[in-house]
Amino acid sequence: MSESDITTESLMDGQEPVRWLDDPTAASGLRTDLLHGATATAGGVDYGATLTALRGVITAQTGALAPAAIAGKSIGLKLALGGALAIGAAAAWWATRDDGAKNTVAVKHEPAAQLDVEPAAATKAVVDVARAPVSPTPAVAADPIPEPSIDVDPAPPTEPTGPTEPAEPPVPSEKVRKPKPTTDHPESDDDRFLREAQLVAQARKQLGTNPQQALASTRKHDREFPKGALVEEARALEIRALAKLGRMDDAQRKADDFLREFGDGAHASAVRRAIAGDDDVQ
Amino acid sequence: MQTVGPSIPAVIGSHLDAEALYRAHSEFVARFLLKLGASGQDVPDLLQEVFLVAHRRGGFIMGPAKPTTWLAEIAFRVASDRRKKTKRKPEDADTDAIALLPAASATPGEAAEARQGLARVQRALDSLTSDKRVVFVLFELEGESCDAIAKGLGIPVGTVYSRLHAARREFARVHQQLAAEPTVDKAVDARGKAIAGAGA
Repeated sequence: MSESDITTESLMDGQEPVRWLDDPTAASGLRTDLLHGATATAGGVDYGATLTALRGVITAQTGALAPAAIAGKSIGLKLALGGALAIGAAAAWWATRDDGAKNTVAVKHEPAAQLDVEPAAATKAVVDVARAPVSPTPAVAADPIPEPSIDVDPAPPTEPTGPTEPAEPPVPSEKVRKPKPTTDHPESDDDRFLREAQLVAQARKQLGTNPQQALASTRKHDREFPKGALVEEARALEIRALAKLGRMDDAQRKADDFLREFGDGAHASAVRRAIAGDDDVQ
Repeated sequence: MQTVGPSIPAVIGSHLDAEALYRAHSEFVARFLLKLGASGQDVPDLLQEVFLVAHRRGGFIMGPAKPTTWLAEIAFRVASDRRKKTKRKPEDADTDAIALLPAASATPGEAAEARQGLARVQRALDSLTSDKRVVFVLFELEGESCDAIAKGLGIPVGTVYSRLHAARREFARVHQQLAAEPTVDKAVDARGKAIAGAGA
């Protein structure tokens, strides 16, 4: 038995194992290499440019400036960054609007006034990002945001709460209303994935404040993305929403199916907590 | 006091928004993405995507999980999704300007050894399945506890143990093979020494 085998034996007895780096019985060559791995850094990353881009996307979404980021894959990031620079004007516009509007999207996360990047620096960052090599598949963050309202702050919902009867209501129209992009090409896989991710994010956000709407969103996900990449998470959210609504029989039945299929998955523990009445999501 | 970043105290219930998380943990996430096998070209996009997802989830609230393992779960998911959707040409990897770099070394020889060691680690990591890799990286390379990993990934701690156990066996097996191989750098070093010897 090698030294490495010996050190792994302690894993199965329920005790916190010792890191190989801290284990003098582990092979020295292994420990040396692991030390190189543990102390390695990510070289070549322009963190400032990425932060600027992130702010741009967040503010563009939060300020309902998504159209600025919808223009296309290759220039979406740049346009989103443009949205960051324009957010000052947008924030002022929002601030002067009638405060009672029901479809108001709270601009709380990243008002432009808080950006500590000088406009010139931000512009440079735009150029840097534009020059940076990007993968053929654009980041979700830089992609179109068909439903900008899902990324509002986790503030109390501005729309009326859903009905109390068990039947889930349709997703409120103001949440999904948006002009369909007048594209000449069919929806790409990336666009579709983004829509799916946004729908799941919407359900996740609604779970804490309005499980009825969360349930409706998961049902919508099931209809539109029955074989989507986020089916596991959507089904887990559905079960958690059912449990929060007190529909424990439905939740238990769906949880049984879920755990058979995804018992080792990332959401299994959350599902188990939900059907045990211990879902602590806010 | 325990902190969640360079200057952010870990107060239970305190909230970290996406930018605060980014300032504290962007280097960790970038490094983690590379250790998960993400290509350097993809890292800026993935990095942004991870923190955008963090924003969509309403930021991080200090609780049982740590921000690093919470972000690691997002990064793991984002990187997995990207891997499924992107097929990159192998030669693209050679053009990556973004990559893991070993810590600074005192001498060129030590630097070469560090590069070789890091390359062996990356290749051994490549032999692991993604589920095992994420646990191994978090535990062995990032120093997270099994409990923190379990909470961050939302899996039972027993699953962390079993995945770590399996990952260690596989990693050690592949690493042992790699350590026995002559590396490119070693060959280059050997050629360099031969040339230097001929010129002396």
